[in-house]
Amino acid sequence: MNTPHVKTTHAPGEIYDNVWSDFEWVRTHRAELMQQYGTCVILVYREQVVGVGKTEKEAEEDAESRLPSDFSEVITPITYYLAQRHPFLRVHPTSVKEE
Amino acid sequence: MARIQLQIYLEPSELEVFINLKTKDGSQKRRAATVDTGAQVSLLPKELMDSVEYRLTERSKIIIGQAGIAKQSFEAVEAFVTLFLEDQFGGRTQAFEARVWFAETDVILLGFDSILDRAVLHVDMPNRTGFLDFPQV
Repeated sequence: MNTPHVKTTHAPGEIYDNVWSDFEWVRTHRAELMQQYGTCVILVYREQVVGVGKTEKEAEEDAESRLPSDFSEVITPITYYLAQRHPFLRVHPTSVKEE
Repeated sequence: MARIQLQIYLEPSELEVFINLKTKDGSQKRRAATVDTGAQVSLLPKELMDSVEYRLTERSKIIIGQAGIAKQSFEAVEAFVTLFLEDQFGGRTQAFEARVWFAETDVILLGFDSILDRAVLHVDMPNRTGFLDFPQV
């Protein structure tokens, strides 16, 4: 699915005016976002979650599908990977699956 | 020298930094990466291979034993990508090449190879500040 109205890349040197405020918003709301959405990729634009998916592509397509059919602008959301932060990766689990 | 401010998280405590990856069409992708001093090599979701410009290393496909845990391993594609680090205050490194692993993962991790091993890491958790100094980038 094409996402002509959702732009998650930028030209070299370009910084859209929503970028830093949206990253800061995610930083301060990350715990709630994690609780609401779980491990996933979210797109955030002007302090609102506009797309959710297991991958970036899914999140972009979700954002595109949520836009009104007559929407003619381009939004520039940030992309953020929401994931549980595991405190230890070196602890031996109690059961291990044979490969 | 470039100084890049870090994003500090609490509960759980974590450090994040913004990276810009060069893509195949000449644009860039800006993403937040977790600073992981336990990571030998930076880790990127495999999906990004569709869009991020990379060149495979000689090894290309590798199997990595996960953190020394017996009988657990994962497959990754090892490649070089071009990236730079930046912060919201205008701090920015030059673009440079870094070895990364593309794998099935939900996170973007910044590890030592080509990145943290070029930097001085400063973290002040009581005052919730931190930065990476890159003397030569």
